[in-house]
Amino acid sequence: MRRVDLLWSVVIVVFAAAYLSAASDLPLTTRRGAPGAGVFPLYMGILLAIAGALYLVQAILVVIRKTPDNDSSSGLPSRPAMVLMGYMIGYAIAMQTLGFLIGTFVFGFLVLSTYFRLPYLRSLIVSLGMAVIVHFGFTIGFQVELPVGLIF
Amino acid sequence: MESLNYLIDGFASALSLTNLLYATFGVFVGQIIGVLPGLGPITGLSLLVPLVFGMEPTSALIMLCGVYYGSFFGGAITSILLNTPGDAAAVVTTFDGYPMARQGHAGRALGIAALSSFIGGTISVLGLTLVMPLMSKAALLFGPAEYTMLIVMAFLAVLTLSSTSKTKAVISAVVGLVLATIGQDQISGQPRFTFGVFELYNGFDFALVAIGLFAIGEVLLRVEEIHHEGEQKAAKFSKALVTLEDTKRIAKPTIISSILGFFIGVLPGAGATISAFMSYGLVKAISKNKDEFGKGAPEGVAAPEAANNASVGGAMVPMLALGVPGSGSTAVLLGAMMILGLNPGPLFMTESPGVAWGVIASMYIGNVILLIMNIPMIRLFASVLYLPYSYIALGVVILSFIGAYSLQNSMFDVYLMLGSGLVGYLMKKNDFPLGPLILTLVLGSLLEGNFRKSLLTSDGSYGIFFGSVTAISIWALILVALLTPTLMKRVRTMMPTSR
Repeated sequence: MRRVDLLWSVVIVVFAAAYLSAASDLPLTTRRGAPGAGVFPLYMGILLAIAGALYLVQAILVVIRKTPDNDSSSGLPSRPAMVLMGYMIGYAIAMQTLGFLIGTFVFGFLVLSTYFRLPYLRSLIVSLGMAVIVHFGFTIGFQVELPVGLIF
Repeated sequence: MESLNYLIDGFASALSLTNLLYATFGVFVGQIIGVLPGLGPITGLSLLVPLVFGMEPTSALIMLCGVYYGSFFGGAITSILLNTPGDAAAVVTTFDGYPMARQGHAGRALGIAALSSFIGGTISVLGLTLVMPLMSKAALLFGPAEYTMLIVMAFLAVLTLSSTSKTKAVISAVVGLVLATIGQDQISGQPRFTFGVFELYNGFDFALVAIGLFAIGEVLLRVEEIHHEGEQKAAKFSKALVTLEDTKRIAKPTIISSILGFFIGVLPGAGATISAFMSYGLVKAISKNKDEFGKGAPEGVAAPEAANNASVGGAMVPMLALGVPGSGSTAVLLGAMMILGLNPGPLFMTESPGVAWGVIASMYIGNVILLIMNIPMIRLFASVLYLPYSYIALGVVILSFIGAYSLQNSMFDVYLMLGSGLVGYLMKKNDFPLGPLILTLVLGSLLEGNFRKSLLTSDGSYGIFFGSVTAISIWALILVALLTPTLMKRVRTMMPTSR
């Protein structure tokens, strides 16, 4: 248990409260008196709230007792991971607008050359090769439909 | 006799050229995935599940099962050469596999792993063939109440055996159940938690969540590790040869571990990791060479490898006979069965014997393919370890995007998969186990449906969950599941103290 768990426990408790609030709008019984659409979500919401509260108590105890963190990693998202996430969101947008083949090539080239800092020529060859092989492998080999893009 | 006839038919189906090719492809892909650090059977299965749409069910399941058991052996390669297990089940193999590699016996260790995996896999399929008919007959005694409790038992077992914080495991499982409630209510048709988003009416596709959690989450975590620590270099490779002395030393531990692995695999929640730990502890306890364990004992490689491969057949028993997966991997397989239009559950063996026995027969053949492929091709699989991670990350991201998009040809799914990836990354970073989430997501709607049907038939009385011999037997099994961690603690005390 680390201090960052306090943050995540609050997130879970808030999520459980929001879920329970939304679940309370669902009917608990049907017209015939059978269990309705809201029964299961209600139980799950209560269970999540209890587990979240327990987690919160454990996290608070860590802070109160000033227990040293036994794990030095922060538990929060790191910059390299978030930058790569940004690249992937860009890939999704490129796939939607430029289509799979060009989008994959552009994403591959950019991620290899600017994120992983590989030489430009190697990045170009690998990304082009990968985009072409995967595109034709999946569309012809597995008959998978891939996005054609809005521009082309 | 009836089972034997079905098995013969199963062999006829599994030995067709198409199915042989699918089995070979699955085993090959499984091994490559198993080799990639951090990517285990669940990731491999998650990435391939979207591709099985429209495939013939038997062929699709044969391919996915090949990925499942193939990846276990792949995991051993990284454990031995890199001291980095591909998945949790391969952790124990590092105890003696990596010391052997460092002493210049990497090839011997890989050979022992291949041989013991083959024996473990074959014994477990034999067990599966014998136990399945009995189990499927017993499954007919299950009504909605018993089925509800069986699913609860699977959840509890997964939670109690989770190696991280129990609170976090419970949260992970309940989040899976919460996600399973999104979409139209299966009985009344009322939309729940969709907030007017049309794409959510069908609920969260487990495959999307699995790809995001396991593949994208792992890539994000790995790039972060590489950024901080740099890439690890794999140990030098030698020819995969097992000596006669090795064969003599590993014979008994391999057979004992295979049998133990199979039975542990049958228990929901136990699976490969637990069986590897328990067999290692047992083999060490009965070995004449106790002092060599942890320093490069061949038995220390054979025991966990035989056990984790044997657990595959065991884990298939509750999944095929009862429709209740006992692990994250079998949960993904169960989800794939649903995608293929099959009806996993107590009636599966009687409704689709062709598919079930075809898959079982293919596992015999798959294990032979695995062995034949391994001896000459170990060097090829191991060469994946020398690829820069940038290429692997790019490949995994592209495959994840294709997998997510091809489910419904929808970009919404791609964004949902990316969101799951972020959640998976944060969960892993904060020691939340992912297995319970995916298990409960797959089984959530089944649990809810059976729970509500039970209450409907009992006019709202909860006494129905205690009302039959089967229900009481399940309560007894739940007690066993709850007591297993105490047993596990005792076994762990036998592990090498150096680790």
